[in-house]
Amino acid sequence: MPIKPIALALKEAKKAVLHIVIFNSVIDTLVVFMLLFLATVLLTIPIGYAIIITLVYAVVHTYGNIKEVNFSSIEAKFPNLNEQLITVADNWKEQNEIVEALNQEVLLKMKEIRTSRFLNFGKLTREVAVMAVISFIIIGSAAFNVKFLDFGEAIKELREFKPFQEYDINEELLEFEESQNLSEILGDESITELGQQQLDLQINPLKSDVDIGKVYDPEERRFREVPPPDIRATADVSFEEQIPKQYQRIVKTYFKEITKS
Amino acid sequence: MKIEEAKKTFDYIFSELNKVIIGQSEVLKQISVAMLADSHALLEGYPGLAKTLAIKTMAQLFDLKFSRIQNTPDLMPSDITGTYIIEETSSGKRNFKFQPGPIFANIVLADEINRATPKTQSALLEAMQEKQVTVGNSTFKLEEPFFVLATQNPIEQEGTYPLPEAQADRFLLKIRVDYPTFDEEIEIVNRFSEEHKKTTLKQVLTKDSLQYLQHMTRMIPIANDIKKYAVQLVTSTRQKKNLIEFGASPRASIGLILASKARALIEGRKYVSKDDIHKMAFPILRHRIVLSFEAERQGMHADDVIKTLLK
Repeated sequence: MPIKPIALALKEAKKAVLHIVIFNSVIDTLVVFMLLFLATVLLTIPIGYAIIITLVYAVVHTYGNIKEVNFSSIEAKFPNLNEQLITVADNWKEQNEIVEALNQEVLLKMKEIRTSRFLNFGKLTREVAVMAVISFIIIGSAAFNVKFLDFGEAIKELREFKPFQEYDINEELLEFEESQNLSEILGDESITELGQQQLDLQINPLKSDVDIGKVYDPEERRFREVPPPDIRATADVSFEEQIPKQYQRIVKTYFKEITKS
Repeated sequence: MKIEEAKKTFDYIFSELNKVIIGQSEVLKQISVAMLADSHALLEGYPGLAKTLAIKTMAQLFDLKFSRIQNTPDLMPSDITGTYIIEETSSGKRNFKFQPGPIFANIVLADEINRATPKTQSALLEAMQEKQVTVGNSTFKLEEPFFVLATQNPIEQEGTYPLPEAQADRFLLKIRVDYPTFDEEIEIVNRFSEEHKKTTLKQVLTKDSLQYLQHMTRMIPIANDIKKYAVQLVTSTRQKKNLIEFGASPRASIGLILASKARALIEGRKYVSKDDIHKMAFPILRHRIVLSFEAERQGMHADDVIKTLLK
């Protein structure tokens, strides 16, 4: 049996609308991707996250939009086809004079279908403008190396953060000690923490034993190959500090801080 | 016959009816719907609203056999169906002969149906549903098309027998006949208080053309979404327990689709619209739902409940 012209027209109309819907979905997805890409640039997040989220969004959004492509949505844009298109779509296979007449009538009216009616030019313009703005921001932030947050570092700090530490009396003692005489333990904070300031060190030449202008000739020294009998290596106990437990953390912090400076 | 011709025919029928009936266009349209759906209609309205006149006038426009049954409490079933009488032949031999009652017509006007006793009312049941009559041991087929167009008034309940639900369900439509508008009433007064002019009506439809229109009605296509909407509407009458004690049967779903198709044909449309479903929901459902005590306590009528279902 040859395919009826109305069946072909219905197929063509649905296909055209489907293309428009997919195009709209692609534009929406691009906007989402650019926003996510900007976030990855500013927050130093790996771009893979942006790609994954965009892909998930693209699949869900496009699927939802494609699902909504039906003849009712076409009728909504063309009121003169109201309830006729869905009737024809459901009944075009019927063989009777009324259905045939309706098929012909709808076929004529379908010539008025314009796919441009499915494009929301206002939304499209806004989306293109948003994409342009985001592009400039991305280029600018890349050029000036603008970063709001180092995401990797933040994650690392979060991992080190132990919010549920057990209550320790020594911890309290340490905090008390630090609040009382911190400068005595760690030295003057203003000197140790210079930050970006320049530290000017000057060696006083009067107190120096070094006479730079005096240069001696090299002389040959001879070393004995056999060490004297009174010098020998013996095993000894290792040095062990007997620091009370409550002060161990203070000492540890002290050494940690002075090594930093 | 094309659908455009069908529309012209109905426009002509309505213009002929307007020579006698002023206003009530929706009532006349709904009577036509019942006839196109090959079913029966019950007209309810206060006395003096031209219920009987509307049906009588309509019958004149069709080349069909018309009969009228004036229901009273002493009316017997045999007065409707007919009975066996003794007939004497020319040779003097006597034998029983079936004398058909007024039910043997194409259009039967059962006036004030709720005045007949339940026994007599039930005599109509078989005729309306099966389109046949059983008298004694014999069954007689009724001639097609066959319509029962009954009337009743909602007041004067003394000495009346309200139709049982089973019988009411056999009427496709319960058509509410309302008072005419002020202008219509002025027109009625003018027409019927001045010199009586005999109005002659032309017969518009033959039996064959009516049957063809009935055939066309069933050919009208309907979208699946609209069909589902209609069925959902009927099934919702069984779910709204707070307002409806007993909902409509699947017969209501069939009736709603068929009546909507008929309405589309009358309006010259080749498809059923949601508006048809909305318009036909009232006459289809109002006699098929039993309101709950809560709905009655709130002073709601069947039409109010149907309105809430349509929202």
